Amino acid sequence: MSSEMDFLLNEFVAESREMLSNIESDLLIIEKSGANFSDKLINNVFRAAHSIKGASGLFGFTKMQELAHKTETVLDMIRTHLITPDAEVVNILLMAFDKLRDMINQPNASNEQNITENIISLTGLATAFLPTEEKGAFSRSTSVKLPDGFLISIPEIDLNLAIKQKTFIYFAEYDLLNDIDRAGKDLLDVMRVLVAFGKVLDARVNYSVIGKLDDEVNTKLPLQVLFATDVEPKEIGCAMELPGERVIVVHDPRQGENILLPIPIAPSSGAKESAIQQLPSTTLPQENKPSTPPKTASAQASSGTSSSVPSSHPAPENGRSGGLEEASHGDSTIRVSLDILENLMNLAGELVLSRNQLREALSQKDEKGILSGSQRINLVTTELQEVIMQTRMQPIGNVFGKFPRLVRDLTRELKKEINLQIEGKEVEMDKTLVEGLNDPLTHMVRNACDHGIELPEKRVDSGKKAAGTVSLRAYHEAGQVVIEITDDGKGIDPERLAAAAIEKGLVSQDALQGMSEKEKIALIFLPGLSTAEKVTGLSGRGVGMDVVKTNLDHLGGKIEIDSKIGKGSLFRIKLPLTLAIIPSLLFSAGQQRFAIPQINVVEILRIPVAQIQKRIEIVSGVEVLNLRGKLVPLVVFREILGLETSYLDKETLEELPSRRQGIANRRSRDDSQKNAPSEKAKKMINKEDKRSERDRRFDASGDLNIIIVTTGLMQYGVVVDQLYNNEEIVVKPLGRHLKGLQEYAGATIMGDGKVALIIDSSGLAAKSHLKSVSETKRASEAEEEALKERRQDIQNFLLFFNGPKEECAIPLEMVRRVERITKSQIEFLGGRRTMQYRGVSLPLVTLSDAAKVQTISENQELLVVVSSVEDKEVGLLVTMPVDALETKVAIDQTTMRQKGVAGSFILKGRTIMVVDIYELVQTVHADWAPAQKLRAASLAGGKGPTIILAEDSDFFRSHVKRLIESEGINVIEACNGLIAWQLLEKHASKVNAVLTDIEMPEMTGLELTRQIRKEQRFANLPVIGLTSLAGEQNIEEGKAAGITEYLVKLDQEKLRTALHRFLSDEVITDVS
Amino acid sequence: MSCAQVNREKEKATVILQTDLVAVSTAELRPIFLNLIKDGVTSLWLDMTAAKKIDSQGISILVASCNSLDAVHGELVLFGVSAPIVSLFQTLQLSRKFKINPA
Repeated sequence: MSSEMDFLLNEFVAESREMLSNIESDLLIIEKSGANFSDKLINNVFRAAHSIKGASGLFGFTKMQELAHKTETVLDMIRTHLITPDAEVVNILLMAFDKLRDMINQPNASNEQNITENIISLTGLATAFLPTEEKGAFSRSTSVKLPDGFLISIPEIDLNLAIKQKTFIYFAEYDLLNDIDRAGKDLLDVMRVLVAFGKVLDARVNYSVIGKLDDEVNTKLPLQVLFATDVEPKEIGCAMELPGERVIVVHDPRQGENILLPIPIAPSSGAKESAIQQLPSTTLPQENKPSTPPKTASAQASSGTSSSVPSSHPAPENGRSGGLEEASHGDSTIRVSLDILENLMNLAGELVLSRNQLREALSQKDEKGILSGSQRINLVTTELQEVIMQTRMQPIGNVFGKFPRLVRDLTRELKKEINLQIEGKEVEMDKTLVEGLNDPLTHMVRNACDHGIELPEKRVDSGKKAAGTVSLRAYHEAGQVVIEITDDGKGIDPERLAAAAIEKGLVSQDALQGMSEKEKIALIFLPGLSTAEKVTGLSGRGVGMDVVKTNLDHLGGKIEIDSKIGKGSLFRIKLPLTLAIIPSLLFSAGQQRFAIPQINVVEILRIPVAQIQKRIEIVSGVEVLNLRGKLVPLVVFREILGLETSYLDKETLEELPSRRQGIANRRSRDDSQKNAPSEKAKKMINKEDKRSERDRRFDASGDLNIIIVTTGLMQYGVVVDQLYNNEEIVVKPLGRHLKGLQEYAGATIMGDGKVALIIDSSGLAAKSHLKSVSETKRASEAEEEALKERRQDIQNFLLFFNGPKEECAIPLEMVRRVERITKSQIEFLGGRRTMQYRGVSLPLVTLSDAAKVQTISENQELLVVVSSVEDKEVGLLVTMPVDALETKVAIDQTTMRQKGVAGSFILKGRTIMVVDIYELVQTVHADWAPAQKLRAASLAGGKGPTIILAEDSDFFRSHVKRLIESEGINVIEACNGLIAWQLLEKHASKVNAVLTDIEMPEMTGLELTRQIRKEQRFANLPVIGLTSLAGEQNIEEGKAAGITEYLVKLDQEKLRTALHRFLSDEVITDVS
Repeated sequence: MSCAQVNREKEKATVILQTDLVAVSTAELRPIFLNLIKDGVTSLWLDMTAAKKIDSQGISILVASCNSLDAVHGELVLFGVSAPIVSLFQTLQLSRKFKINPA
């Protein structure tokens, strides 16, 4: 065999093998689905058989062609719902594909293969589903006499199927030269459209008219076509691109009879001639019927069994969509502009030069040369990458281009008026993405026309224009391509969608209660809401939206919906520019590294070992992470890989098996004693006992690394061993042997040459059988707990010691500085303790000056906590160690309360006293606040201003109240926003300002402020926000709500200043 | 520039198309094919890798070449045919005419 033939044959074998690789799984899914099989899957299988049939014919592999043809026929019968793909049917098909695979593996010996058994099975299968009188049709050919008297021979089964599918059968004669070439049409386009509209039962180029090379060039090139389609006679001329009168109706399903009936070919030539003679020899006009039509099996079948064709699957639809799908099927070739090719050639040249330079530098051990060579290679590679990416870029117009026709057809079919607007056709994206978008976009445009846009009269009734608009828009945004499909139709009703989801048991009532409108609309992506009848019946949206979602997932895209009832819907798809290079997060499990696309990563967490038991629990048998009140199911990636849980021994750096069962269920320290340990375990226990001080259960190496991943529909956590950097990875397809693994989307090669598999987040969720726990009782409890926690204020404290066992805290806002001092720096002057500090004398106090606590031993390591009281700096003498604490603890104001001690709280089993530095200073230095006393005295008559203080924490409320009252201001207390509002309404005439906490139950400070601002009479009432959360965002939010000023809790100086400013008319002037 | 390059090996000739198989190129190809067959070529191989388009004249010359080769018991072998053109040949049932037979 010549090398060219080898090449062609190898191509054929490789392509066929690839096509066959997915057939088995597709057929098995089809078998499982029974009569409700996926059209897409059956079309995939059909296409494979069809392609093998065509290609094997070209090579002269006749047996392969025959077997593929019979297989294709059975698949076509399944496609048109004449055969239900049960186990027996699928078995025969699988065997046929097995045989085809054998033949493809040894193509040159394929004609010697025995396919009799397969042919008998396939024939039996097809004929079993045919009426008795049609059984012979499977193996018979039928001849149809053409108007010129010539007989076209086609398999009888093909003709019968076309008739059964209630399609029209037309005969047309093209003159390719005059009708196509000279009319400026493209032959390939005309034929592509023809295939898209139906099935070419047979075609015949008149070879004799063409003659030989030395004959005179003909001025005509006739092509006769027998064509089955659902397109009606009045439109057939347009579809076939021929004047209507040149197309003859051979079979009209509405009339139930054939004008030109097929005649079985007689076995001998004599019989053939007699058959020809039975037919009229002239072209039959459309309305003419033969006077004595021969009664054939197929004719009987067409009238007798037409009602058996399932109405839910009209053949025209199948024929057309199949054709479109075929037409849009991705080409294996790509057009590249010469400029880009030249650029690539230049870069290839650059690369060679750089390689030579590097090799030379390496051989000379020239470090500078090596460095410059590697830099050059780096530059060239980057540019090469960019240019190669350009070759893959295609305009999205390639997909958008088909929609005008689609919308036009739908407009007619649905009797609606729809305008289609297209914007951004020129936006380019990766070829794979453009091809992958074809099906989802078609689905969505069809939905928008079918279910979004209302009938003209309905639109006019609701005040809209009779013609609806569907818009397609593509644009670039933040390195992504955004595609929007908008309609001005009836919109999606979230409530009706929710009701349908409940009815179908897809979500619970409890789950729905917490859902926003947007979340309810997102229910449209649930698989159960995907069938046309079901969804059309409820809100008119959602046909196959789960399939759209799945397809977009595969493309690494995201979809969101905005919809308003009566106004319309907007579907926004965000896609990466390319699938070939994607930013990804790298992680490891076991000794293996993996990549997860950044688009799927929501956040990454590290759970300290001490918090694992608290944060991770088991709900409905699923290990879940409590993530700010949301329960997120977890997948342990090691388990996916089938690896045992292990840990890294810090001493030996060995990976040893862990005895941990599950994530949260960590064995206790004495578990090993309760259960009889194995010998191996004993060794480990002994080893652990020896290093009990650094037990790994309490070591940071036991921390959990979790990647929170989204599939778009749900979030889940992936527990991994190690997290690495984000990197742009080059995506490589998986080999055939790994293609069945749904949890991987591809592979990439890392910088060190190792391969890392890329995670498919949806596939991993499916593989792990993840259950959503969002509807469980525990989920609502966790949410409530989180809400409660959020309502508690976060407070920052400085922790220190007074006596060796007296741990104290002071709110961090009160601390100006912390200074480490020595005993020698302390001075006793005039009976008072001071120290030299920044050129002045700093008064020092200790807690024991006012409270009954231990006296500080000056032999301890000393610290001075500097605060400001009454505009004076004062130092609190404390001892080491110090620490900072951010907590939400509740402060007990009674147990430890005494002068200088505001209260106490418990932290990890230790009692911590909260120092009230103001009270302490006032007790020790009573003479420091004459101005305050004067102010208070002048207001003693009750003429002072009044403020409402809203604060849910008893500690803070009483603390602030005391401070305010010491300024001579009357305070009305409220323990939440709602009570504050009620009190304000009651005392509206005498309240001069409101001082409110932000996070409170019942009604938050922001809600209270908004309520106040709603009333004109309180428009100028100062509202001071008092919070420990004073980030920029909080301040912005507060200002937007109407808060006059934000103050940090316990910053008494600022609070006093603010009160002065806002109550200046009421508060007497500062007399200090 | 010629629309084709011809490599001759005894009774076999490989014609490498440099362009689409359309009216313009067929006018040039017809005498080339004819002369090859007249010169004793019975196995005519046509490399269609460069041909992304074909029109009725292109089909006409293929059929005419086939008819001429039939008369000398020869064969026409097409290779490097793009998927859309293969699909066209299948639709038009031309695959019955242009067979690629393994040696």
